[in-house]
Amino acid sequence: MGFVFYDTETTGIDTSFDQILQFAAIRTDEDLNILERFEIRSRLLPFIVPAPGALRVTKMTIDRLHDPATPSHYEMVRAIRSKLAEWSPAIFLGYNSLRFDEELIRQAFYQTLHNPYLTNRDGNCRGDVLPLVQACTEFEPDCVTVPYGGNGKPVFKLDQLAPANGFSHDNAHDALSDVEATIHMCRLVRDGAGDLWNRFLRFTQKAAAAEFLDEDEPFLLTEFYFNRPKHMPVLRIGQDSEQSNVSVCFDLAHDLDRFRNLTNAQLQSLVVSSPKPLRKIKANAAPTMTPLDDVPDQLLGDLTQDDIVARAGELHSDDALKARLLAAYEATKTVYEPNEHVEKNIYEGFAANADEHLMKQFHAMPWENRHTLASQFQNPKFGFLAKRLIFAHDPNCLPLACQQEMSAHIHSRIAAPDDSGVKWTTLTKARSECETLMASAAAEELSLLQGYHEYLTAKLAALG
Amino acid sequence: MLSPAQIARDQAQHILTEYAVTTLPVPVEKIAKSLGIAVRFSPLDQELSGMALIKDGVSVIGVNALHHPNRQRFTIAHELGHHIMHRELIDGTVHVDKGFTLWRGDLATQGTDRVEVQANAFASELLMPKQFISQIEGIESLDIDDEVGMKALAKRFRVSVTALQNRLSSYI
Repeated sequence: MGFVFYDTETTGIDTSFDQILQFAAIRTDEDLNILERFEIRSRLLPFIVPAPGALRVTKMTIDRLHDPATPSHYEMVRAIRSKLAEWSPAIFLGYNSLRFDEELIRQAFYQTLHNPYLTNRDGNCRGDVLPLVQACTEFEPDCVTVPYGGNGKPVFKLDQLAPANGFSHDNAHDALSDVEATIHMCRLVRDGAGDLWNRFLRFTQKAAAAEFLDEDEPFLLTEFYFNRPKHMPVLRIGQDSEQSNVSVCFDLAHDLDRFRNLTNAQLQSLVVSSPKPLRKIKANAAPTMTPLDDVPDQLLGDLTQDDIVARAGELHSDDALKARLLAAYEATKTVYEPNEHVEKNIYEGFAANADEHLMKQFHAMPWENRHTLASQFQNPKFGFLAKRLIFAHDPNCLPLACQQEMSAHIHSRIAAPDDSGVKWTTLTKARSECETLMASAAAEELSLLQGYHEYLTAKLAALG
Repeated sequence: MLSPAQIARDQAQHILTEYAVTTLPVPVEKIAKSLGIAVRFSPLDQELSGMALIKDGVSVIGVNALHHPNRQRFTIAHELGHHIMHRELIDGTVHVDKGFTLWRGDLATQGTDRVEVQANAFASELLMPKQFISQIEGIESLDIDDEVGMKALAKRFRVSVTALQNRLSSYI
């Protein structure tokens, strides 16, 4: 009950191929009074190479990432799950969390053979404070002070935003300090933009957002693109055929007549042209939706409320046009090809009950026996993850053939050729970035980078 | 003489007439807002459904953000009932509702069961008005234990199956 605010510090910015190094969370009551803090760190996984820039920002030395006194990644994940389950149900919030921290947490759960969806199941709700703060600057401009960068554009980075709004952020990029900064921003929005805060909380629940979308009434959708606001009066016309939580909405700023009397090909071309007339809204991602009655006139653009209602009514009663628009959406939506990397398969279906059962058994077994389960998973990706987990704990807990398989896998990750185009950080990429950063590093950063450079050089030499 | 519950149902019917509600689901949140009552969502303890209060002249309904929207709608309707019928009890104090079968608060010993019965009757009539209930096909022979049928019907009213079953059992 209440809120759980959380943040992570990581080895880099790739949500599939980087890992969490520090996780912090604070539980508050419904009035944002702090009740409990939780923080844990993790050692480095053997198949991950930290981005030097990430270590510089978080001030973590490579030695610290190998400190035996620090929990292993698996131990960290187990501790996080245990604590978050203890604090559930709650509204889970972070800053830029839905695109970043939450994805990393899901990956951490998935890669350690747990169900990835902790923050939006079992009665939990989730939201993101970054779009909340961004929306606040539009709905209640006096509530939050937004700093501007040298290019004259607004800056929503927490390490600059929080101090501009009275938060003493001396330990920016320390997970716990960033969580406190996030709570500070929420208190500002709650006190200065109560209606926005209220809508935000309401739509942190997937079912509540879905119900609102299902009302067949027009509303204002607010999204930010590169820190620029976009307000769209929309009406839901249907749902994605494969994802039940994705609603397809029509942007009522577009004249309906433009879409009538077109061939299917013309319609498909129009729905993908910019500005896009169809918007996807995920009910489980706390969308910023405002009933028309609550929208300040200046955010409606060239249309009046009456115009929007009339256009919505026209579209609502035109089933043929809605069907054709939906068909055009389906025909033009992005199709994702299967991916060879296990991390990228996280969203390819839920684990079968039998596999979930095996996962529970896996966690309860002594490490030396766990390998016996690896071959029993229906979905081979879980078997692979099981072997990688055991290898990370102690290679000797695996049969020799599996040890060799995992060694080869790790080598293919950390020593992938420079021209292979892989997304993750390799040893050579990291060393090169280290050298670039060292050339302009301040004195206090130089020793950290030098230490990391030496580590990378030694590791590369060892690999031959 | 009218029973307290009947008085509450009449009040709900009065609201439905005033807001010319002719389709389902009943827009309970809009009605509350039109009456100048702010609906506020908060992640309350699981057993708390909602609360009603008037502070410095401002009328507020608090709703548990962690509960399902159908349950939230009943909470809003229930608390709206308190605002309409029991203003003297909530003016200057927070009236907390823990579920709707129990009553927790300082006024527990002061005959508050009656106000809870009234708030429930009001909410039930507001969200599931008799004029819509009577139109349900086969209402006389409806099996309220038919899970699938009840779910479909509850969806139309946007209420929980339990709330609908309670309403139907009193209607049938």
